[in-house]
Amino acid sequence: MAIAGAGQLNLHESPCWGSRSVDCFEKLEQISEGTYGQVYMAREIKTGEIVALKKIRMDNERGFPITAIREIKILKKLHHENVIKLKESVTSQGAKDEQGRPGKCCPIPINNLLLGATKYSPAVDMWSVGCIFAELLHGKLIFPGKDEPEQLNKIFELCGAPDEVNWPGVSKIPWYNNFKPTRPMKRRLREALGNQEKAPATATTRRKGQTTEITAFTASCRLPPIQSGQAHAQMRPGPNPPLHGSQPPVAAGPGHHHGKPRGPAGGPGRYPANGTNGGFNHQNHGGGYSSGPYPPQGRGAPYGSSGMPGAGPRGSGGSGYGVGAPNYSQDGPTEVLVLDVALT
Amino acid sequence: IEDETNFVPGFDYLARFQCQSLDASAREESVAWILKVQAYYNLQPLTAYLSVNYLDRFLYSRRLPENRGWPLQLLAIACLSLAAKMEEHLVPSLIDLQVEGAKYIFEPKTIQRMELLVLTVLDWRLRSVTPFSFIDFFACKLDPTSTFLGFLISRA
Repeated sequence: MAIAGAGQLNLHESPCWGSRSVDCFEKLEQISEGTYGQVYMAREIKTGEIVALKKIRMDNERGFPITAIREIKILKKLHHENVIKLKESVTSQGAKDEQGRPGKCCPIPINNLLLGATKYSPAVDMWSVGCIFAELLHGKLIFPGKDEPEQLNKIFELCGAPDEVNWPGVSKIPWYNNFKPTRPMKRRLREALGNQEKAPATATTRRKGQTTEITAFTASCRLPPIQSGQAHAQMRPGPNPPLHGSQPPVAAGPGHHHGKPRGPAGGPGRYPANGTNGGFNHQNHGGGYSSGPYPPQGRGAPYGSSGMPGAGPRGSGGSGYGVGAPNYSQDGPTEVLVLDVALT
Repeated sequence: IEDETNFVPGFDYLARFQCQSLDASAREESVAWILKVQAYYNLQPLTAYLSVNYLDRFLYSRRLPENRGWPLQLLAIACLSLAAKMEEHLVPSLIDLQVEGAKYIFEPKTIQRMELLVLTVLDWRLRSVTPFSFIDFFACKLDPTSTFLGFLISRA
């Protein structure tokens, strides 16, 4: 990660947003590649300032991605020494947006997809939240892997290794066979994180009850599973009784294997359990709106089921918006790995 | 409350229409088009409201190349697209948004650039507080048993 020297940072002059071209920067090297796009270390040619440059992939169907809008909105508001500062947004030809930032903090690569999975989903976010909780508690990075094999290994060491028993379908994930551990690994999350002595000041200085609650959150983390259009499964290795009753609305789907029954799958939430497809991960099943992976949200009828004029300059295939999932999907294999720590 | 001024056009916005430095009928056309698309796709009323909010705030801060014609249409599409992304679970594609008598059809790339311009002009502030935020509250006051709540809200 680029750490700019004290004198190199140029925090005061910020050119008008979006007015400059990315050509004002010289890319030095690629730092990482995330779901949204690549991050580069770059130097501003005029000032020599070292920045991190994040390239946002544009959605040709729907324009500026809402995820990027949210990220930029939030980063613009955050001003903290431990949070990367968003300096500027620059454009490149083809209307891609890139943001220059002084390299100040190293974002944890916890929300990246692993094992060759290509689909992003709410469960991935839950995994990230779980990791952040665990890191707050732990006081340091929880899976400090330099690369994917190392990171996966750290995950397996702590959360146990996935196999077809505790995670049906895992062997179908593209790179599972390349990365699967050679020896059985047990889950030892509670042992690793349950010890309050190890918890950082932020957690230990709290009242005892609160600390325990956070520990419970982490202790009931589940190494999770696959989300594909067909089968959802969650595994819960080890006896980790959830201390809090409700399940998060993650990846509710018909095929979940939970240790015990839960409430109506999906419920009134936005990740419904109907059909064979769950939530954001439904595949290219041409139906689009009309095949109804989304139930009425209680505010207006679902698209296409009625009342939608058949005519109109719709996309090809005659099936409404059909192709692909609305926000997160990318082309690629249909199997999806969601490493997910669900907070219960 | 101080923040609120960032989410509405300036106080002299109306006056600018009256002295015709802004074209009221062109704006009206854009608003009408937004409402038509909202009806066509059964989008939430809030989406349309936000679109118009973005449109007004943009018009207040920036002058479009000409008062009538494609720039305003492009602005309306970009505002609607942004609002839809903020509020809708399923967002029609940029091409699909251009229905209901849209006079010009723009390429997604063009709209995307316009979105970025709108975002910049609005300083990325999209989460305007609208009357919709209060409807539930007042509806509950009127109908504590919630029997007619859905009906009330749908009529509001």
